[in-house]
Amino acid sequence: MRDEGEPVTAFVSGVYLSAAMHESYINYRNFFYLKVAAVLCATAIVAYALHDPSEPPSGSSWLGYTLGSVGAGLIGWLTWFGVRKRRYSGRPGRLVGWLSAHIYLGASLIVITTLHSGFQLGWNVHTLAYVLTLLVVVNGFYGLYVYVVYPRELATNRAGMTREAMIAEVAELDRECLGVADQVDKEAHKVVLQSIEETVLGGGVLEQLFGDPARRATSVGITNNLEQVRKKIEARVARGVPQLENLEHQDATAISFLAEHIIADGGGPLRLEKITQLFDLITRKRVMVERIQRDIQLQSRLAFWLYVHVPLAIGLLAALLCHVIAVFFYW
Amino acid sequence: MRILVRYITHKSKLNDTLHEVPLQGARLKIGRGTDQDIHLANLRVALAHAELIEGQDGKVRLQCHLAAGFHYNGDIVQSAVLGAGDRVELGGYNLRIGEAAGCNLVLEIAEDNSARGREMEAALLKRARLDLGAAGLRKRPWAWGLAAVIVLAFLLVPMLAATVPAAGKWLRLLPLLPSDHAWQSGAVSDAHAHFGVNCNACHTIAFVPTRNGACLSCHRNTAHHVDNEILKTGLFKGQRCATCHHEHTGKHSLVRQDENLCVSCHGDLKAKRVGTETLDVRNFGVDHPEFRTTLVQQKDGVPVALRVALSDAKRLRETPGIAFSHRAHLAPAGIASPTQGTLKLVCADCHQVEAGGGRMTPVSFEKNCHACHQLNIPGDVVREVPHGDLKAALSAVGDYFQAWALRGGYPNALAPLGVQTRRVPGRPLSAVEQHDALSWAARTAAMTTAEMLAYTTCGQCHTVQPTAKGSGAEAWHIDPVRIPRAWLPAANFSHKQHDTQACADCHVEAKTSDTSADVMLPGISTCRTCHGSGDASEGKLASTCVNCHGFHRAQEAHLKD
Repeated sequence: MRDEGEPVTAFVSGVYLSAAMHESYINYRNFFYLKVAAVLCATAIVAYALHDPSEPPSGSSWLGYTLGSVGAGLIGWLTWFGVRKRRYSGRPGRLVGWLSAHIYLGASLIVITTLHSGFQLGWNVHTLAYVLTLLVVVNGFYGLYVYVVYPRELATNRAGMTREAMIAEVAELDRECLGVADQVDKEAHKVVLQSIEETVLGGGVLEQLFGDPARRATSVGITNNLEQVRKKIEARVARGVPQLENLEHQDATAISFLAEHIIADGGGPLRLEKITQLFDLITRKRVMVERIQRDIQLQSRLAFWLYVHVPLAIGLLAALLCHVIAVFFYW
Repeated sequence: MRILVRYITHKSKLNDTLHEVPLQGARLKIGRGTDQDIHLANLRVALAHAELIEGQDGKVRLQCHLAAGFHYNGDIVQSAVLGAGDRVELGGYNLRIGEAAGCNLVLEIAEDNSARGREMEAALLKRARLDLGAAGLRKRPWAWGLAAVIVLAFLLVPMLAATVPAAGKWLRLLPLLPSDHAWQSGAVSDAHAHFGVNCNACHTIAFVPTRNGACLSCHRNTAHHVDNEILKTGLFKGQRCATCHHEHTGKHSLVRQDENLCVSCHGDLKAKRVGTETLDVRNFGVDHPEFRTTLVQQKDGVPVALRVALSDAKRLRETPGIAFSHRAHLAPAGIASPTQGTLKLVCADCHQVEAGGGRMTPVSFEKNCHACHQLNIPGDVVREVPHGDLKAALSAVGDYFQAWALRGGYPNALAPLGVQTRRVPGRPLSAVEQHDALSWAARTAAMTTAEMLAYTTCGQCHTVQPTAKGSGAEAWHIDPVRIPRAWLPAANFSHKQHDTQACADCHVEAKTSDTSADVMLPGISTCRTCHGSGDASEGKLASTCVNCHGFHRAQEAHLKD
């Protein structure tokens, strides 16, 4: 028996759906709009199969005009979703229902517009409108995919923290680093300050989408500094200290180890402790910054498709307008 | 364990507020979640961040749930046993551990509001571009830009090309420039391909369907496609050239070949035109009426055309005005020709396809019958009468006997002596002899023509009757021969296209027919052994209406008139 308070989750197409408490845009009203879209497509396909246009099929038979009208109506209505979703108290219906209908009826456009074209394609405004329709729908599918995949990755990456908390954590670590570095020496403070100022969360569009979060989490200043340290150690190794493996790997152990060797070059136990602490802080900051960069990347990937979807959809509306006017201009 | 929690809130530099909460339990949860025992609202705190756990020895241990750990007296640790005087930094809060009577620990919790921390955060955020919007990506400029380019290239410029001839000329000519070519939905038919780039050859007025005038500017000699009588029915009201002749559907011909063109009306013509005698038809394969032949029959001496279905055996009798037995002529043993011995006839000896390959050349006496059926004047194996002209035939017989009367020497004992006797030069006939000879000639000619007409010659094939009035040709009536040029005048049939078949495959009764009253046309079932509907759904030759039928019977008047 299931405990009342325990949500039951079902794994549907990569989405965790809670049957007890959650109705998503996928399964809204028991897949109502999926059924509507399926009936619409089936009707169109059957009508197309039975219809005998007596000539090569085209959009200008009675069925062609009918499918065209349905398609144009759908496109207009689907685009209206952009307006509807901004109206929080909008009527009729809940926004989740609108989104569900938007997805399934949008997908049905593939069938409706293809049959409307009668497979008569060419280098013209009519095919432009058709291709834009397909691009918008396929892009919408991609949007659906990212909304299925990325939220889970986002949640895993955040591990219960919010982005604001992570940023505050980085700021806090920066502050602590500066404090500790100040107690080491002027050089350490300078390097740490430079590292802090070089820490840039996010970035340009390409950096956000495709940048490597791990690489972008380590500042040049710190890396250069560690490189100098590495050279010092290498000099010592040449003098007979056991070979170190994997020096480039900047994990906490390696950094601590390096720090000890710096101390061995001349410093008291207090300095050793402070430097160890500093490297600890820097390592923690690096982990946190990497998580933020990863968070930004996932968020931007989650959002990017819409920056394609909306302009293409508006372009489609324009192409549809041209298509309809052109058809009747040269009737 | 018992813990006293003191929440210290900095209101201002000189004013802190204190809020004490005593807690009890073996484990106390610390986090931002509402279900936590020690609730810390700062966003840097996780929903379930850490936990206070009482050990066996009564000491209290702070265990962090996050990998980041917490600051314990300046060190970063995951777990630490707390004692008086310890300092813990956790998620932006400073925790000071103290002692008090009646509880294990006192926990003073104050939010770390140091100005330095917030400056660092502000600086960090100032450098950051946290989302695509901050990175300068916008939807609206792209959306409006794309829409504007499309409207310009695919609507406004093409409209300019369509309405301003000079602009259209250049826009259409130069490659890659947008023009009204971008509106062309499909290839122009071969017949109209020569218009090339000039859309306005047909599309003359914007937003008005292509008008007939545009078609007639070239097709001025095209005849009306339907009778005026049919036009009056209103079934063609509002039809334009382009109603049926659709352009931009490919390079094929604009003349429709499909069944729908006809069936849209003829499928249920009775409902559309009350009282019509035309039968409904939907396809050739299964829904086409039996063929009807047009027979000419005499009704009160007046020939009338009758439409008789080939299945109507009772009415399917012909009156061609000539007697003929196919069986006799096609006798396997041959027939005895008076001139050519025994002849074995085949169909093609009489029936030849005419030059166009469609119908059969009409059978003619001279070409097909005369070789055997000689028209000799009885008693003379050389002289014949002409065929097809009664007056000429009667004249020929009259002239024949008058010549004997003049010349004499006619070898017949019943003739007058003056006719039997050969003429002697220099001795003319007496007036009485002349009279006798001429009257014999007239009398014999009349008798001979009557015999030939009624029995020996004409009457063998033709129906000949005396009229009992007048003389000469007027005294006789020969039924005119009415062999149709086309038995199924509403259909086009090509014998040439069917030359893979033997004649008897379709004209089955030819070898057994004794009378010319037989109509030996094959019915629709014969055609259907090979021909099916236009969609070939019966697995037979796809045959649409226009394979056999023309589009109505057009008048000679030109559309332009």
